[in-house]
Amino acid sequence: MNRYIFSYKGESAVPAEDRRLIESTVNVVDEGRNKLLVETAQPQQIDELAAQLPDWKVSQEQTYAIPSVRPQLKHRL
Amino acid sequence: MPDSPKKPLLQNYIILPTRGIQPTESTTAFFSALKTGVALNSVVRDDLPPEAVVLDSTRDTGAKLVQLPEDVVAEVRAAQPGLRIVPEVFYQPQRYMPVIRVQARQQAQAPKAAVQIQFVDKVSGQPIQNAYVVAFTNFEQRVGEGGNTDAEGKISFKSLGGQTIEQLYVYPAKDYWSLWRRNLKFTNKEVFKLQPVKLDYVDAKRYFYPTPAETDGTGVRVGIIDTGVGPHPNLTVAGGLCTVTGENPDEYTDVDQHGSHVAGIVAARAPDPKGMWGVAPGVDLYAYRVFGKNSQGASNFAIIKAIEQAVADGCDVINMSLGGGSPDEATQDAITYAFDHGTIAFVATGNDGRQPVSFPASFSLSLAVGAMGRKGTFPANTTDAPNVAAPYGTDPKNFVAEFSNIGPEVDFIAPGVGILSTVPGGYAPMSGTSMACPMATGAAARLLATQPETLNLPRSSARSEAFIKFLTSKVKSMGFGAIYEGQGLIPYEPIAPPVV
Repeated sequence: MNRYIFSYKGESAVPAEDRRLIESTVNVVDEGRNKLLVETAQPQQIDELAAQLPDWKVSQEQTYAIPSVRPQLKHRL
Repeated sequence: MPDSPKKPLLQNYIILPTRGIQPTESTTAFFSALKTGVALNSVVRDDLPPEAVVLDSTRDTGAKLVQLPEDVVAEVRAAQPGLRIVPEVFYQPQRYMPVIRVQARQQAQAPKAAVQIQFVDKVSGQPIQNAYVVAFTNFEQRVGEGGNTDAEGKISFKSLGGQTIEQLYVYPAKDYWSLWRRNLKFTNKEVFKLQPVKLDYVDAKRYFYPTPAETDGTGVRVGIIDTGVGPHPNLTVAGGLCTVTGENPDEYTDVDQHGSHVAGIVAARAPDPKGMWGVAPGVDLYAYRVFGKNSQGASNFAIIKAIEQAVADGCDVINMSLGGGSPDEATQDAITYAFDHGTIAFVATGNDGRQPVSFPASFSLSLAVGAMGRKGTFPANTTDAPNVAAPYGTDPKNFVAEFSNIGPEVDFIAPGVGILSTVPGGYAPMSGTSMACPMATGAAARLLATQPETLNLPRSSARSEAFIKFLTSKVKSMGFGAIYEGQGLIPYEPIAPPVV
C-alpha cells in the first residue's frame, strides 16, 4: 500500500464535497489541519483525484530515520 | 610580499517571498527596490560587500536573481527573515554516463576464528549489558561484525579471531562513555574497561553553557518533535502529543533514547548544581512523538501534525533534530505555517559528513544548526575522537564536527560532540547535529525569555522575524567560516535574576 498526503491550498475550510470525493475513492487513514493522509494500492487513483481537485496538492508520504552518527556495517565478515 | 586579500566566492541566489512568488503587503516595497544592477548594501544592509548585486528580475515585484558571496547569505537571511533565499539551480539532461569505480582492495585472507570479549565498568568491574559493539576489519568498505553484549557484558564474534580490527566502536546503552580503538587483534576472553559517566563532567554543553539558573528560559515554550520525551526524573513535560498514525495520541514518552537526550539538552533540571542541567531549564517543555513504536522512521505527515499542534499549544520555539531525503512541500508548508504564527523552528543540518544541508533544515524558514566540538570536553579514545576535524576556530581547540553538513543554508552552529544528557533510566553521551540543534534551541529560549516585549508580540510572521533579528544580534562567530557556522554560536550570557 502506498500512502499520499493531500494538502488543501484553498482559502476556505476544506470543502466537504472534496473530502467526500477523496473518501469515496481511497482510504483516509489520518488527518491534520488542512491535510489528509490516504492509502491506496492503486496509484492511478491518486492521479485521477489530483486531476479532479485543483485546490489540492498531492505528494507521497516520506519517512525520516532516527538520526545517528554511528558507522554502520554494510557487509558482514 | 604581503598576501593579497582572498576574493569572495560569488554564487547566484534567487530571493523570493515567504511563499509563492507574490510579495506580501509588507515586502512589496522591498522587492520593488531590488532593481537589476542595484547593490544590496543600499537596500538590505549597508555592510554587505559591493559584489552583492541584483542580476535579474522576473518583474518589478517578482523573484530576484542576485549575486552574493556565499559567506554573507546567512547575514542577508538574518536581515530579512521573512524571505526565501534559494541557490540558483541548473538542470542537466538526464544522460547516462558510466562511471569507473575504483577497484575494491582485496582483503588479505587471514584464517577466521570465533572469539569472545567482555566489557566491564572501569571502576567497579561490573559487566556492561546491552552495549552495541561494531568491529570493522575494513572500515572503508564497512566490513566487519557487530552485536550487543549480554547480561555478563560478553559478546561473541564468529570470524574476528586472528583478524586485524581496523576500527572498533563500542556504544554502551547508558551511563558510560563510548570506546574507540584502532588496529587491534582480539584475544579470546579479553576484557575492555569502559569509563562511567560523571554528571559533573565538563562536556561541551557545560563548557559553553555553564550550569544555568533554574529560572533561565521561564516564559518560553519549547516543542520537541522527536522520538518522545522521558520518563526521566530530570525532565518535566508540560504537555504533548503522539502524532503517529494509528498510535495512542496520549503516549508521547520516548520509544528510543534520542528525544529524551534532545529534551535534556534544552531543559533538564537536576536536584543539585552538580547534576544534569539543560541550557534553559525554566522553559515549558512540550513533547511531540513522531517516531512510531517498533519503527525506525517518522512520517512527514506525523511531523506536519506535530508542527501544527506545537503552534496550537503556543510553542515559541520548535526543535527538529531530524531530516534527510528530498524536500517536500507539505513539510515546508507546515514550517511556514509555524513561522506565520510566531513560532520559529530550529532544525539539525544532518550528519552526512560535510554534505549539503539536509531537508527540512535546508528550507529557507528553518533555522539550520550545524555541530561543533571542543577538544578536551570528552575523554580520549571515545568514538568522538574521529569527529575532530578542520576547520578549527578562532580558538584552535574548537572544531567543526566531522559529520556536520555544511552550506549556505546553515544559520547557526552549536556544540554537538560528546554531549551528556538524559535518556530513559539514566544518562548518556551522544553526538550529532541532533545534539547541536537543541543546544541552539535552548540558548535561543534562554535569551528570548529576557525579551518579554518581543514574546508578547501578536503571533504572526513579524514575531518570528523579531525573534530571529534579536538572536542574530547576539550571535558570535567562532571563526569557522559561514558555510560551516552560518552566523555563529548563540552564546551564553549571564542573565539578571527576574525582578520580583
